[in-house]
Amino acid sequence: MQIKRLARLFNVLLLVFVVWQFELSLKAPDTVTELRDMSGRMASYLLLLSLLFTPASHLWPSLRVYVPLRRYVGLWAFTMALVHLLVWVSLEFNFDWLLMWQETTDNLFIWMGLIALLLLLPMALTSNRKSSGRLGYRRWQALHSLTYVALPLALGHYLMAQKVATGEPVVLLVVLVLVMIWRFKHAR
Amino acid sequence: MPVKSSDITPQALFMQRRRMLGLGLASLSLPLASGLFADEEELLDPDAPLSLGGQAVAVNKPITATRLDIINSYNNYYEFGFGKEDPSQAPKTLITSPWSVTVGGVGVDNPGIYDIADLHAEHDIENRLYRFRCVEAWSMVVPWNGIPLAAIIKAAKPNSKAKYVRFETLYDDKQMPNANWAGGPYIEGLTIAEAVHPLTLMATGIYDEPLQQQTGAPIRLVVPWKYGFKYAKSIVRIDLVEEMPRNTWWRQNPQEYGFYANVNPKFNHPRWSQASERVVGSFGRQKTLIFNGYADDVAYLYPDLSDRRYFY
Ligand code: HEM
Repeated sequence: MQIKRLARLFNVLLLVFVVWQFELSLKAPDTVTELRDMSGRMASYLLLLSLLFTPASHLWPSLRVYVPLRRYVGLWAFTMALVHLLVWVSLEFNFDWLLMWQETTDNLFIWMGLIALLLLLPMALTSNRKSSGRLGYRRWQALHSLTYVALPLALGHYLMAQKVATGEPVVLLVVLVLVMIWRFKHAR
Repeated sequence: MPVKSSDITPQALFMQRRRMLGLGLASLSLPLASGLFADEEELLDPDAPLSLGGQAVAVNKPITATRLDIINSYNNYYEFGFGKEDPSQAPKTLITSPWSVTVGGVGVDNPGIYDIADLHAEHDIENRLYRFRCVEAWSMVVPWNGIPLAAIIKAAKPNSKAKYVRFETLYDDKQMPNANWAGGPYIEGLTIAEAVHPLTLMATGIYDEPLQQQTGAPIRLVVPWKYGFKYAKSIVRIDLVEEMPRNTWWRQNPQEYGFYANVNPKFNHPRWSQASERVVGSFGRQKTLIFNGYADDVAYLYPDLSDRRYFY
């Protein structure tokens, strides 16, 4: 009951945050770029956050009860990545598939983003409890460890998409590497 | 809200008036006219080919000036911060008056130090509506006001040693919070032929308003067929020299940037495509044109169009 309320609070807070970010984007000199980058950054941060649940609940066992929240974090990450893609397809490329294809073949970082998003799709589809029951917990867990492929791809994509190197993706990458080292040591 | 063309009324009216006034002026210079007004119909026709070595490029949008508030708030000027909106939001610390530009180098017989006010008094200010294409694959259309660089160079009496022109931006950490990002002043360069080309401008204003700190006040270079990083801002020195100047981006990242940096949709940046561009403040993307649409005016400067050196 407690956790359900917390999940609802989290969803509401994120919704408010997203609406606020949309507002900011509308005021930016280039709304389309701002929407695209904002959604991409949010997806990256949320994906990384979703990976912190396991190590955190090992380090502080009392946090274990919050693990069910991870599902919402992951779903929001997927949603924002989808928004990111949709902004790209609609507002940026105006559904000009030929031009999109041309830009994609010339941009390795777009392929990396696309693959990352494709990897997130099966996870989003099986994020409910029924699926984990149907798949069996082991198989479900194996499927969801795809995040460890998707996130490095997404962060590589982030790093390469940048015209001017900022520290942001580097910080995210460092945290990711630390989490992956931890997971490697504690793999069961 | 998204920018509709109907939103730009003040500037649109402005441009109309400009156009009328400008038609007479523009006819003075043929290459200029083709960049400004004469191509209007051709630009509106999506099938109109821009002839260049047998390759046809479709121009997909008419040339409409970008809104002034967008031009003034979406800038790359690292001396004032790395973000697009940093330069316009930075405190106004740049002292643009008094300001003088030193014209010198081994290539001139009549070097001089010119106050901005003198430059304004000595030369006619011309209006040029140019496409602006950033190497980061975005673009604007800017109604510049400025002095053709050729006029300034002519006054300095160039000699046979003038092979290149070297531009230097102000370098002062008291006036620029991030002055030292490249470890020295921002340097740009052109060949002498590029510098005296009638399209090349030393801009002092946009939409008849003086340049702002974030747009390179009080005087900056404009070379519309090249990527935007060539347009050195807040210039304090112009030297005519014998050696090719090592411009800042070439020095910073020689794998990705060189000297010529002419716009070419066929030569990609190592990390992204240059085939198309986002027009800032609008939806969708448009195809990038070779030499940013000024091929008829400048292609003769570059005999070998397959030479990669010319295009990064
Ligand atoms: C999990 C999937 C993805 C994540 C987490 C992600 C994340 C990001 C991030 C953080 C940025 C940089 C934003 C900034 O500079 O502030 C970015 C940029 C970008 N992404 Fe993605 N992305 C993903 C998938 C995709 C996909 C599927 C596409 C397109 C098909 C795409 C296209 C782009 C483009 C065009 C840019 C901007 C590049 C530029 O600045 O010109 N991304 N992405």
